[in-house]
Amino acid sequence: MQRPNQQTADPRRVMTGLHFLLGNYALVEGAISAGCDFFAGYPITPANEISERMSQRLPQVGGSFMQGEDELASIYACAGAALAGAKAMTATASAGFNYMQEGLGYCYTVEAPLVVANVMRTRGDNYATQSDIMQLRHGASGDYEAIVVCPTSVQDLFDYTIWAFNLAETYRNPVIIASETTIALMRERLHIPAAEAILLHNRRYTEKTPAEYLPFAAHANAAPDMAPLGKGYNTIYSLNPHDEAGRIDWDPEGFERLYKRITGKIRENEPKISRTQGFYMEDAESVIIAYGSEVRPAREAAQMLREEGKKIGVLQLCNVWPVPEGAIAEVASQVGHIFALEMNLGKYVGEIRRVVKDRCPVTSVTKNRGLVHTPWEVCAAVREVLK
Amino acid sequence: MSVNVNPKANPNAKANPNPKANPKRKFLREEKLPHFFCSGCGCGQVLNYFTQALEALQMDVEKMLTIGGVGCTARMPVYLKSDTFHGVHGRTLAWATGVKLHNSEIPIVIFAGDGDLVSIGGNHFIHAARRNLDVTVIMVNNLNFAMTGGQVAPTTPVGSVTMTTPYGNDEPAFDVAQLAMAAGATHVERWTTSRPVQCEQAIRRALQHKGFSLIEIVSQCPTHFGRYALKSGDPGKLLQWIHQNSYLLDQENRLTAEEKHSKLACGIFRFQAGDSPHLEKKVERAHKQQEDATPNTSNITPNNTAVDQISTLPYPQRLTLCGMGGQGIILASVLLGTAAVTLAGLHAVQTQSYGSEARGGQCQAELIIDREPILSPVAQKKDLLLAMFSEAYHKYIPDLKEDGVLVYDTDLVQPESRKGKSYGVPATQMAVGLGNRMAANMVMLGFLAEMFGVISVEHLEQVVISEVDERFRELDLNAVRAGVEFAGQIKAQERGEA
Repeated sequence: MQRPNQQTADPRRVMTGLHFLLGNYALVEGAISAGCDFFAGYPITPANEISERMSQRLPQVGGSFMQGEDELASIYACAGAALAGAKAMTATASAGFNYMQEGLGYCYTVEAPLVVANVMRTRGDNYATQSDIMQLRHGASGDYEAIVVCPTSVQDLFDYTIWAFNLAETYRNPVIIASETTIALMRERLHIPAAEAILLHNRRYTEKTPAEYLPFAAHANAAPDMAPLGKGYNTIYSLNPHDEAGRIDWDPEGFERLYKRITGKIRENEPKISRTQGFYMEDAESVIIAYGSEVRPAREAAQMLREEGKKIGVLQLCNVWPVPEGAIAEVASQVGHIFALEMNLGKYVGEIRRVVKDRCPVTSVTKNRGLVHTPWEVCAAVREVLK
Repeated sequence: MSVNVNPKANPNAKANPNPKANPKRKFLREEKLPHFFCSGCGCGQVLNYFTQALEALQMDVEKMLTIGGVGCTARMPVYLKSDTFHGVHGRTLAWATGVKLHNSEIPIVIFAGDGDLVSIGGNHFIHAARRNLDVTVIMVNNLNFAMTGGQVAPTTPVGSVTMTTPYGNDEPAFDVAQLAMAAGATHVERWTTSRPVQCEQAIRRALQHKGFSLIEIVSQCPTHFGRYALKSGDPGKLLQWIHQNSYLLDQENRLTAEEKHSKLACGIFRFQAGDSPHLEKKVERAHKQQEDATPNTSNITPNNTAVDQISTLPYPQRLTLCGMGGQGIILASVLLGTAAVTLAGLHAVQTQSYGSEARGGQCQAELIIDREPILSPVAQKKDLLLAMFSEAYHKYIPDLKEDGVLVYDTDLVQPESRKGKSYGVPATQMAVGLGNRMAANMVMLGFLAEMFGVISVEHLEQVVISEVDERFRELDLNAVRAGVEFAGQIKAQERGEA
C-alpha cells in the first residue's frame, strides 16, 4: 500500500477523547494513530505493556503483530516489513536495546524508516534512569546520524510517537523514542485529538520506471524516493557500501559519498528536526537544560526558586539527537549559568558544553538512584552555585 | 579472497543480446558479472541450478525478493535480477518473517551458507521452521566458514583440520536437515553438488511449495575446506569425496551402520502440505477483526469540561494507597484517577510499585490529583494514606504528613496513635458480608468519595460501571454504596460531636 505524502490520521485508528492512561499504552495509541501497521518485539520489563497492547490493537486496524524469538529477530522483522512498505515499530528496554544495535545499523545504512521505543531502565531491575542517552546515538557501528526524541509525560508519549513516525518517514531513518520507566509506567491525563487534527507524513515513492530508477540517488540533504518491493525495481538493500544504483561498491569515493549523504540528511536538517521549549525564559539569568522526565522537576524547581528571587528558566530539549545546537547556543549567549540536569552520572552535559563553549559556565547536575530528581534536589543544586 | 568490482559498469546495462548466450543470463544482473566465487566453488553450480529451476517453472525473478546474509553463498542474490536484502550475518529469516507478515504475496528465496544459517542464524532458523514460514531456503553447506578463511563451522565433520581446529575438530556436526524437521519444516531435502539433476528438481519443488522449504546442498570449497581438511584444492577430487561420503535415503535399509557411519544421507526427508499458522490465520483474523471493530472513542472533550470542586482536601491531593497484592489496590487508584481526569476534568498522576512477589506481597500506588497539570511525579509528603495491610502501613506511614489523614482496614491494620485524623473502616469485613472479600477496595473507594470528596460518589459509580468487569459490577457497586453509607454514619457522628 502506497500512502500519500501527507494525510490526516484515519479516524478508525484514533481514540479521540480524554483518558487516564498508562504511558506505555499512550505510546501505542500514538503509533496506531500515526498509521503503524507492523510491530515485532521481545518480552522485557518495563516495555511489556507496549507489546501487549500492540497485540490487541494492531489486528483491530488490519496491522500485523509478532513476538520475535529475540530482539534481533524483532528489529530485523521490522526492517523487512519497513522495506516492504510498512510503518513498523519495535519496543524494548535498555538491556534489549543492546541487542538491537546491529539491526539499527542496517536500517541507517539502507535508509529504512523505523521507530524504536527504548524504555530506559537500570540494569537488572526496572528503576528509572537516563543512562542510555549516548548509546541511543552511538550504539551501532558505522557512520550515521540518529534522531532521538525525549517525551516528558504520558501526553508526550502519544504526541512524540506520532512525531517520531513522521520524522522516520520524512528522512528514511530510524527514530528512537527515549522513553523512561518514570513515564512508561505512569498513568496520567491524556487528550487524544480528533483524527483530522493529526497530520501524518509518509515516505515518498518514486514515479520513475524500473529502468530509470536509482534507489539511492537523492537530492542533497534529502532521503531518496523508495520503490515498492516485489514490483520489478530490483533494489539491493545491502549493509555493504553501495552506490546510487544500489550496487555493492568498495570504491572509497563511492562509500564516502554514501556516508556523507546519510549523515548529511540529518545534520543539515537539524534546525528543521529539532524542537525545544522554553519556560520562564524572558528574564532568566540562569537556565536548567533538561530532557525527558527530568524536565518536570526542573520546571517545578524553577517556580520554587523564582519565589526566592532567583531568575531561573528551563530549556526543554524535545529531541537530544541531533543536538539542538541553535537553541542551546542562543541560551548560552543570553544567560550567566547553565545547569545540565540528567538522571545519569553526567553524559549529555558533554554535548551541552561542546555547544556552549566558553559563553557561560555549565554545571552538571546528576543522579542515578532509580528515581527522577525531586524539585527540592534541583533547587539545592542550583542554590549551591548561585549563593 | 579477491573482490571483483568494476566501479564504471553501467547500472542500466541491458541483457546480453547475443542469441547464443545462455538463456538463463536473463535472470542475472549483467553488470555484476563476473562473479566473485573462487574457481571450482560450488556456489556457481547452485546459482545455475536455481536459474534452471526458474526457467523450467517460467518464474519471474524480477518480482521476487532474494535474501543473503554474509558469506560466500550469501553473495548469490546480489547476482540475481530481483529485489535483494543483503549484508547482515545470520538475519536472513528474520527479515523474511517481517516481509511475509506484512505482504505474504512476495515470493522469497534465501541463499545461506551453513555458518550464516545454523551458526549465527541458528535461532532464527529453528523458529522460522517452527512457524512454517512460506520461504525457500537454499543452504549451500561447504562444511566450513569459507569467506573468513576456512574456520570450523557447526557442520564441519569430526576430526577435520581447519584454521581454528589445527589438531582436528572435536565437536560433532549438526545434521541440518534433521534439525529443520524437528523444528517443524514441511519440506526438507538434502543433495550434493555431485547430483545436479536432483538439486535442480529439489529447488523446483521448493519454489512451488507453500511453507518452509530447506534445500541443503553439500558443496565443495576447494580454497579452504578442501586444502585444510582434505589436503586437496582440486574441485574434481572434492566432488568425488563428497559423493563418496554421502548415500541416498532409499538405500538406507540396504547399507550397514558401518557403511553409513559419518556419511550424509541425501534425498527427500519430508515433503508435505502444511499451513503457516503464524501468517495465514493471523492475517485472516486481522481482517475479520477490522470489520468488527468500532472506533473506541470517548465523547468527552477536555476544554468544556467543568472542573469539579467537591473535595474537602485542598489541591494538590497526594494520596498513597497500600496493601497486599490481590486486594485491588492498583485498580482502586486507577479508578480514582480515571474518574478525576475523564469525569471531573482534573489532572492526575498515578505511579505504582510491587514487592518482589506480586501476589501476597506488598503493593502500593501513589496518586496526585490537582486542578493544574502536575509536574514532579514525586510527592515528598502525603495528604492521605489508605492502608489495607499491616506491613505496608508500617512502610508508608512515615511518608504521611503529620496532620495528614489515615484510612485503614480495622481488621488488618493496628495503627499507632498519631496527631492527624485516623479513620478505621472494616472494609474487608463489610465486603465479606456482601459476599466477596475482594470488594474491600470498593468499600474503601466509597468511603473516600463520601468522606473527603476525593471524587464524587456519582463519578465513582459511573467509573465502576464503565471500567470494572461486568461479572463484578453489581458486587462492586454494592460495596461502594456500603462504604458511602459507613462514611455517612461517621460524618453524622462527627457532626454530633461538634
